[in-house]
Amino acid sequence: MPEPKRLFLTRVVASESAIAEALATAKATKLRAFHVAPDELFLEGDLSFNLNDPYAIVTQDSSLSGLWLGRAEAENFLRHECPWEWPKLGFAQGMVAHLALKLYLETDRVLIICFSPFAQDLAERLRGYAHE
Amino acid sequence: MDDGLIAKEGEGRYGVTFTSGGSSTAEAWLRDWATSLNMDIRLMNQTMSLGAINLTGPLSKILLARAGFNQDIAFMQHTQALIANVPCKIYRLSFTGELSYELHHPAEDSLKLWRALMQLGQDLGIRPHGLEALLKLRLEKGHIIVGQDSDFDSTPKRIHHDWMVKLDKPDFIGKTALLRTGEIPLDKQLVGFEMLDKTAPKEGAVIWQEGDYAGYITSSSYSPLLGKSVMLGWLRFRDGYLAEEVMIEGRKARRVNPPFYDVEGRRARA
Repeated sequence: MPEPKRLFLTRVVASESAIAEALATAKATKLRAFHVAPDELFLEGDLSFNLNDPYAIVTQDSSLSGLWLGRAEAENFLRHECPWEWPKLGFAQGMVAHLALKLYLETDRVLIICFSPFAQDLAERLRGYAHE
Repeated sequence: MDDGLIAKEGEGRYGVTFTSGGSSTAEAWLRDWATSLNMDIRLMNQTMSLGAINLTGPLSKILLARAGFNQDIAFMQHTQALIANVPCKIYRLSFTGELSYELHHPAEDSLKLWRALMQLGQDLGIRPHGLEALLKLRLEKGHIIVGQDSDFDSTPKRIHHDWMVKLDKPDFIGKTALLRTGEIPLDKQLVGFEMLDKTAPKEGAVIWQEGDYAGYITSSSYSPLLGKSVMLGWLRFRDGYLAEEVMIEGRKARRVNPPFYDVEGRRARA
């Protein structure tokens, strides 16, 4: 089972309208975006477009770690450990296996994300399933 | 609310620190105030993103120079620079009472920065310090720990920190409460005690004044440097006065005004 690795992301806090625009641009340019709060998102890679908010806070961030699992493997884990209904595709977040996790679901795989200090905890939870 | 600092990073931009454990509560308060006061703010909680290393001691400036930082920053000032090739926000402040720098850096670089500092400081006698050392040093300086030395009803006046509050400012959150409580006569105060004894009383020990309950100890430690035990504790006023001598765990203690060490604060400001 692979272990979660630090994700080097661009983190943005901005007005809700600027975030909505940024999400639309990210979608159009096929940039993965994790919309964690109405005024906050994480983007893969550097910010390559202008944010429509002069007061936005933009930082390089490595507070999250993640790993990709195949869709079937991820769903097996989620079926056992996720008490809420996850979407078929896109971003979702909540408590899973007693950890605050974020999920990014694609057709054939799922990125499972946690705060970096909990990367080992997530690895252990997932290892538990590898032994099942 | 919590212990921390506010650093102006640019026009309309501020870095605010709290204790790591208190950051979520602090964030909730900041958001609540912004909403209540109808303020349009941006707020990013970076507690999980940043690490902090406290470099403290009289040789810390020499070590920083070795790590590539040669600027002079005054006490309670801050800047940004590379330390051992790690981008850091450098805050010159001091909880230990010694010349100190807090180095806030991307969390993924913590190990790299730690190892570089330990390596560069080897011949300077650098050593990691833990919480026990930190707590002892701060107590010698009389620095309080919010939540340990303070309580829900601790006003700046009661903890001898009224000098920190500028009541001549037009307005700030809590001003009305401070003006109102400021008119109430003091009934107790957080004060310092010393005892010529190597066994410091337990934290929480009762303070007795002529056989009557007079308060309790909030922080207590033997100071090897001073050769005596030093304490902070809540002492009740009796007939408008604070006792000069009290009994704690059956032993005599003398009330003294903190700090117990480096009263003029020359070491931190060196």
